[in-house]
Amino acid sequence: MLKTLESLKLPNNEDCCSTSLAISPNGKYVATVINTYHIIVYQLNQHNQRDALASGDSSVGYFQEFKKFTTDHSKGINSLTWSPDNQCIATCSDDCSIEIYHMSFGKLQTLMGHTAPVITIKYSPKGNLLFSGSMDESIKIWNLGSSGIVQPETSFQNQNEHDNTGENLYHTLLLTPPMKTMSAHSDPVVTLDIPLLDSSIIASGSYDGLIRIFDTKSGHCLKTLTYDKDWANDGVLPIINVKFSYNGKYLLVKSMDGVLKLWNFITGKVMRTFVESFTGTLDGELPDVDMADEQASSSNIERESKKHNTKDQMEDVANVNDDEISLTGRHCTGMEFLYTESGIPLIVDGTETGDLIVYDVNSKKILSKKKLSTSCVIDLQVYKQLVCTLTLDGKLELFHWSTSDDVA
Amino acid sequence: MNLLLQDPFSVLKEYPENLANILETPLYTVIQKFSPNGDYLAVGCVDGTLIIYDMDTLKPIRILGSQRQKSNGHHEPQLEMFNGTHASVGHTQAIQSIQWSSNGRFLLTSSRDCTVKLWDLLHTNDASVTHTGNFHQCKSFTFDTFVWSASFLPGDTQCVVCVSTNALPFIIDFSTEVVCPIVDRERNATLVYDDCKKYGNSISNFVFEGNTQYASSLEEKPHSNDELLASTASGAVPNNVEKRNEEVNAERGFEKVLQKNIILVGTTKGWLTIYEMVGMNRIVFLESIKITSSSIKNIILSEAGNLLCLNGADRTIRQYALSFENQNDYNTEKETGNTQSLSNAKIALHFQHKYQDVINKLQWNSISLSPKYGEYLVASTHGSSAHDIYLWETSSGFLVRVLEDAGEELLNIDWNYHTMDIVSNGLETGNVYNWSIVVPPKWSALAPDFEEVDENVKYMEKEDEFDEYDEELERNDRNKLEEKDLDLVTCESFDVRGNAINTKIISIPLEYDKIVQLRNAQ
Repeated sequence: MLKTLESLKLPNNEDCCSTSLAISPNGKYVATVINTYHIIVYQLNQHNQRDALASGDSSVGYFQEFKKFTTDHSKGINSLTWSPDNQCIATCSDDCSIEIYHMSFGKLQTLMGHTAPVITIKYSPKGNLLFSGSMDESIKIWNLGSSGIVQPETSFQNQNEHDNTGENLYHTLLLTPPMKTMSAHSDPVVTLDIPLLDSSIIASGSYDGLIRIFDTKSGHCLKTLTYDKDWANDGVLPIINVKFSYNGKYLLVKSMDGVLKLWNFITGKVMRTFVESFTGTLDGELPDVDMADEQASSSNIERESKKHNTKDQMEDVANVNDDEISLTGRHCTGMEFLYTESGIPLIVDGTETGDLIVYDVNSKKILSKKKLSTSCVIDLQVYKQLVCTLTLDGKLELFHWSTSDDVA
Repeated sequence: MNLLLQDPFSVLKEYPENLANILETPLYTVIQKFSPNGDYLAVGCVDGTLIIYDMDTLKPIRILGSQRQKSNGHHEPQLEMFNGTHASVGHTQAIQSIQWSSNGRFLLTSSRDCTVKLWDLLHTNDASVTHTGNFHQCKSFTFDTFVWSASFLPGDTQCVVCVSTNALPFIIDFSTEVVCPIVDRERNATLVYDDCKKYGNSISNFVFEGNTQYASSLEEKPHSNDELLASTASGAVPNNVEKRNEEVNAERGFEKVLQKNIILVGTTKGWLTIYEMVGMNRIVFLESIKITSSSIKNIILSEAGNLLCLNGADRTIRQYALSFENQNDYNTEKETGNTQSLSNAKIALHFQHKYQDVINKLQWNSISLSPKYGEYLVASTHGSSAHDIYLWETSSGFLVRVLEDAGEELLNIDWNYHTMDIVSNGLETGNVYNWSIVVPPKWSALAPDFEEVDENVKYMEKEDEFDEYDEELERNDRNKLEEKDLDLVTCESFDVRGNAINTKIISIPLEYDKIVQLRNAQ
């Protein structure tokens, strides 16, 4: 069951909303966006966790404000992520740039190169590469590893004549060009994921309804997964979230209608389907998606833009997103795997309607369902048994998962 | 995981065929070594600088020990002890050997400046000093002569160092920072012992903190963490002509610590001498075999220890199969924990193949075996007209491939099995050439229902191609598929090529402080 540990209203100004949430890989910090351009980092007081659970004492704060900083982005931040070494936060924004902030040194780099808002970013597990997916329909790979070092143009013979050879080896390029661009999608790329232990592949999900797996070294597309045989035609549901399982063998995919599918991406088969209304066997009935209604509302991204951006930004979005407005009606909601202490895989899914649902992967049963908000669960992160959610109305909540046996 | 999705015929090639890229190193490269899983390449340069390349990006990510010494203007080897404030961290002369620890965290380097250094790649700040006077990032051990090579012993806590004035190598224990020589107990023990004593005194002047411990360990060999040596490691013993040990016949040669605790020493007179290591820092002479009349340039062993290749100055590479005649006995001994006695162990050498270039009569600069069982042997050719790497199959002895595209004479070779990359450095430019398996792009992957065919195929409608399926049946099929339990947690322990996947490999952290420094300087 999910136990609420803490609920926090983010200090957002009116008509600003938080878009993204990230728990550091060591589970010590939670970072989120506030007031469009600002990042707030909370320390996650985990040492309180057991005591508080035992005593039921809710006065112990789990979120403790640790740091707050202002980014140089000129438009709203779409997503943020921690580097694997817990030291940096990368942010991507509607102003087409990516920025990297070090917790103690401040801003390290700005990565420019995308021609449209950058929607999603992901670090490689080794921390040397950054992947970004953008509304310009491309995925770019950025080299962070040698950002402080570039090779001098002079050859080594000349080098040896200088006294301070070493100094010449170090340069900083604050504007690093992307290492590689993969443009295989025909609509905005909204989600990326890399297996935790293997940086050789990356999965991308796009509004064109395709999930593609790329080789990170060569940039070649290795596999394409799609729900529909008529994938080339209109009407394919956009993909809004992809997530690899811990061992990197399965890929969980969420499409715009809120249905989760677990793919064995090697064989290209769907191994599990999770539908909210669904209680055991597959009845084939997908929740009705009212297309007209969707058209009326705007997408997550567009709504963001409207909230805090200028008119030309809107035009930008409109240009890029011209023909797929009919497809985009909902938010990119969060979803994550959760592994219980005994290693049973679960899926935590945040829905459009503000519910937090926990599925058992193997039995497909809904183990828990909780109403968090009237607006949608825009982002969700899991660290061990802790679940941290962010709803569109700016509420940050922390839950602890324990199976019923554990409680007893 | 990416290999599973690629063309199996490309992935399962047994050796790289195409020159994939050239690393234009800013300094002249003398030696290069892949990290255990091929993520990084450590490049040792002629001025003692170490550059670590990230093989994902093919860009340098770390430069070890270049800056300080140059800005100090020192070019002479610094033999005085570090006082921790102004001493240079890096090597000051050409790197002789590089070895990675098995988890990829440490680099062991030896250099012509008479030092052996252990680098900790997890530490980025090279200015901080430990209480022992060593740097966090780097532990340095100084000898009074040229260091030929240094290599880890199993467990990565100790290493064997071979220096040019002594017939026998030293062992450095990193945790205690003790340096002590290995002593030949049986033969001319006194000679070697005296030698070491004399030598040891001179060494102790330069060794950190080891002075007192050094003396005691020389006499009694007590060791705080006395892990007995038992398995593979390698090193080289060159011998100064003046201090030549007649009995060992080693004027200048190489040594390999083989599987278990056997040491092979090659000499300039063409002898192969076999020692056995008994416990900590003691070795016993086993036998000496005349291989050729000219000097032995390289000795290499396959990872599994089944093949031995000797590169002789007579333009010939000889390949032997190695086996232990009483291997079973040894195994049982090991099980009972008795690693002390192996004196009845007998190594059997079976001559297998001879490799030479009969037409051009080329010398071989350097040789290397493909990892694990050494199915392939590669050798770089000597001479200004030869720019090739030859690749033979060791089971048949046939030449299977010549890797040519380098355009200059090549020196050292390293082969990584995880990424199937061969690297070699050029003699003239000092660049590093990388041969790799180039997997062609799979265009059919872009469209899920496309299929790639070699030539046009006439379309034939399959019998059930346009059949209408019963939705009920289809759904049942799907349900059946979804019933099987899934394992989302267990990782594969072997990759497609059959290599063990080591998940404990450490990735080298970024140097944020350096980035910030330079950003502020701008």
